[in-house]
Amino acid sequence: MATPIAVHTDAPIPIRRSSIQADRAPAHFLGLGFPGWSLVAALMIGAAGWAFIVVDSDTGLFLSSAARTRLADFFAKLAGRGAGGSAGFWDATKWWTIARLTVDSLSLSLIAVALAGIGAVVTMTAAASNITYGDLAFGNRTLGRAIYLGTRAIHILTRSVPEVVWALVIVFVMAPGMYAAALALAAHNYGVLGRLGAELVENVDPRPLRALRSSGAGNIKLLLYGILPQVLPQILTFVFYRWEVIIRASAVVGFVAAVGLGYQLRLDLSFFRYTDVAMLLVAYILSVWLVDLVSVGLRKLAR
Amino acid sequence: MIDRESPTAIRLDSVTKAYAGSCAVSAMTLEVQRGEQVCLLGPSGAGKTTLLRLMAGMVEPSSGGITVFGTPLQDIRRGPELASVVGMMQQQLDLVPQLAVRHNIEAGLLGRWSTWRAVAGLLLPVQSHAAASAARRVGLEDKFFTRVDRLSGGEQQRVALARLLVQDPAILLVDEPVASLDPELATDLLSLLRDLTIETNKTLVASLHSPEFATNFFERVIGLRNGRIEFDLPSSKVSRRRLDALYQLNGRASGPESVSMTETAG
Amino acid sequence: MSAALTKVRPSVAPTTILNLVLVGAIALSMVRAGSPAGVLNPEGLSAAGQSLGAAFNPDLAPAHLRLTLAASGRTLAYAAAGMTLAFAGGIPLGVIASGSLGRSSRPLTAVTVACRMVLGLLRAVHELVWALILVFALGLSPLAGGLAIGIPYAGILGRVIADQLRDVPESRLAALRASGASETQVLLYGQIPGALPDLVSYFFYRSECAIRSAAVLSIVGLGGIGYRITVALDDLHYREVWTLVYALVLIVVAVDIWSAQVRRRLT
Repeated sequence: MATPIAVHTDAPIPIRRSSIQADRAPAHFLGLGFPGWSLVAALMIGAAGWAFIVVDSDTGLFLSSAARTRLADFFAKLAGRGAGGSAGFWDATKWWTIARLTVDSLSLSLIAVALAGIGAVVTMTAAASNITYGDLAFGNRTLGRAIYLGTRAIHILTRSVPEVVWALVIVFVMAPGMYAAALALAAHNYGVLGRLGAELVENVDPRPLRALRSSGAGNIKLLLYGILPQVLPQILTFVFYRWEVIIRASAVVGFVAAVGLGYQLRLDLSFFRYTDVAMLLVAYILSVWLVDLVSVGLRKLAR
Repeated sequence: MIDRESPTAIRLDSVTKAYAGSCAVSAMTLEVQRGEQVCLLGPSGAGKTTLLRLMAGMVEPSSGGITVFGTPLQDIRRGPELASVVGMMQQQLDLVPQLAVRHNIEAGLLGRWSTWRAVAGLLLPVQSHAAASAARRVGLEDKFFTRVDRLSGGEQQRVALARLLVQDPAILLVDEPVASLDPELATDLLSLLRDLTIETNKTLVASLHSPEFATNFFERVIGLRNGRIEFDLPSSKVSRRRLDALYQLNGRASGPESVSMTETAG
Repeated sequence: MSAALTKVRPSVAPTTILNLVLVGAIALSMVRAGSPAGVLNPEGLSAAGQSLGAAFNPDLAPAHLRLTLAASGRTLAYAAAGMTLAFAGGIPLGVIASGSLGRSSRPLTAVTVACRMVLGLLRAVHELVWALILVFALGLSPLAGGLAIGIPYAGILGRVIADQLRDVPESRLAALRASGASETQVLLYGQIPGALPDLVSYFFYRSECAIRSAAVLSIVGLGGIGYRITVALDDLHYREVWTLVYALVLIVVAVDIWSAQVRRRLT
C-alpha cells in the first residue's frame, strides 16, 4: 500500500487512530462517560455474582478437596479409566449409532435454519418502520403502524424466550421429536433474524423503492423487486451465522425434545455410561466444527 | 375514467410548493398539450425537479390545483392507475443495483403484473416481450442479463429509460436525463427520447440545464428561475438575450433596473 | 422469443447451484424427520390454551413473587459471575490468539495456534451442555452455574477479541512501527485503542445473552428462573410460569436498553 508513513523519530505521542475513528473513539472512556461507568457497574455486578456463589456454595471458590477428587474422578472416567474401561471406544456399532444421531442433529438444525430464515424474510418488512408507516408507506398508515408494532412485539417475544424454554413449551402441544426440536430452535432464531432483517430494511436505499412505488408496485412487489435484492446478501450472511448457533443449541433442545445427540447425552449421563458420554461429546464438537466450516464458506459466497 | 385523448395533457392552476418557508414553485400556471415535447430550462435551484415531482403526483402542492387529462391529480388512485398516466425518470435513476437489467426494466411493468407474474419474473427465465423490445430499443440487448451495478453511467441511464418505456405512461416526465453524460452520449439519449416520444405518441416534459440541448431537441422551452416562469416560447424563438437573463448569477435580472449584487434576498 | 435474446442466455451462477444444494439438504432433512402429520398433540392443545390464558393472569401472590425474585437474583449471579470469568479468561487467550504479541518468534506462533484451538473447543460446547457436565462433576453447586457460563463465553469473547485486534488496519499501525515501537507497544497504543469501542459494545451485547443463558441452564437443577419454570410446568401451575417468564423478559429488556444506550454512545 502506498500510504505515506509519517516518521517521527522522537514522537512523544504516536498516532493512535485515524481521523475517522477519532470521533467515535472512547475519549470519554478514560474520563468515564456513560460507557465507562457502565463497565464499572458491570464489573461490580460481576463481583457480587462471585460473592453470592462463594457464600452459597459448599465447595467454595477454591474447590474443597472432596470436590477436587470428584472432578478428577469424573474426567478420569470420561477418558475410559472407570469401571467399564475403555472398551466402548473400540465398539463400531456404538460409533454407528452416534453417527446416526449426529445426522439427526444436523438435519433438525437445517430444518430450523430454513424455518427461521424464511419466517424472518417474510416478516422483516412488516417490522420496518419506513415501509409500514414511514415515507415509503402505501395505503393506511394507522394500520401500517399497528402491523409494525405487532410484528415487532412478535420478534421481541420469540427472541427473548430461549430455545430450550421454547422446547419446553412446544412439547406440550407437539409430540417430542425432530419437528418439535426444529420448531423450538426456529422460534428463537426467527426473532433474532427478524429484528436484524428489519434493521437492514430500515437502512435500505429508499430511492429505488420510491421509483418502484411510482411505477405502481404494491407491497409484495416492492419486497420482491426493491427490498430483497438489496438486503438478501446480508440477511443470508446472518442466517448462515445463526446456523452455527443453532447446531450448538440443537444438543440442548434435544434434551427436552428427545431427539439427536442431546437426548442420548442426557440418558448416558444419567446411567453413568462415561465412555459413551465422551464419544457423544466428540461427535457433538465435530458436528459444530463441520457446520462452522461450511457456514464460513457459505458466508463468503453470499457476499 | 381518465380521458387520454383530451387535448390538454397537464394543467397547473397557480400552483405553489413551499419547503420550510422557501418557495420551490410559486403561483405557477401552465398548460402542456397532448403530444407536446416540453423542456424545462434553468439554473439549479430554479424549481425544475419540484415542478416535475408535482406533475408526477409525488409531492402535493401547498396550494393550487393540477389536472391531468382533465382529471384532478389527487383524484387518481396511487398505484397502477397513476402509473399508467404519468411516469417519471428521476435524476438519480433509482435502479436496484443488485438486479439484472432485465429485472430493472420489468419493474416498470409491476403496476400491470399480477403478484404471481412478478414472482415468476424473478425466479424463472420468462422475460416479457415488452422488456426485451425496450432493451433492444435503447441498445442494451447484449447486457440484458447483466447486473446493473456492472454497467456504466450511460448504460444505467438507458436502463432507466427502458423501464419508463415499458411502464408506458401517457406522459413522460424526465429529470436531467443527460446530467452525467458526455456530449456524444447525451445527444444519443436525447434523440432516442425524442424519437420514442413521437413514435409512441406520448407527451414529454424534461428538465435540462443546457440551452443547446433544449433548443435542439424540444419544440417548446420553458425558462424557470426562482420557482417562476421567466419565458415560455417555441424553441426557435428563444434568444441569446433571454438565456443570458435566465442564467444571471443569483437568478437576478440584468440591466439598469437590476438590484445591486451586495443586497441579499430575504 | 425474439432473435436478439436467444443469443444471450442468463448464465447459471455458482450461487444458484449452491442454493439448489441447500434446498436439497433441507428437503432431505425433512424426509429424515418424517411426515409432520400426527406430531400435534390435541390434548396438549387444551393445556396450551390454558397456559396461554394464564399469560394474562400471572401469579402475583407475595410468596411466589419472593420465589421469582430469588430465582432472578440467582440467574443474575450466574450471568455476572460467568461474564467476569469470561472476561478474565477471554482477554488473555484472545490477545495471544490474535498473534499480535510475537510476530517474529516461532515458539509463540505455536502458542497462538494452540490458543485458537482452545478457544474453539471452549465455545463449541453449548453452555447448557457444560452445565450438565459440570453438575455431574461438581454436584449441584452454584459454582457449576458460573463456570458453565464462563467457559463457553470465554471462548466466544476470546475469538471476537482476536478477530477485532487482527481487523485493525495495518496502515494505522505502520506509523507506530516506523517510530520503533515494540510489538507490545503496538498492541497497547495501536490495536487495543482501535478495537476498544466495538469490543465494549460487544461485551454488553454478550452480557444480555449471558442472562438468557443463565436462566436456561438452571434447568439442570441449579435453581434459577429456568429451573423454576420447569418445576411450575411439571406441576401444571401455568400462572406461576408466566410470572417467571415476565421476570426474565423484564431483565432481558432492561439489559437490552442499557446495552443499546452504551452502544449508541460508542458508535
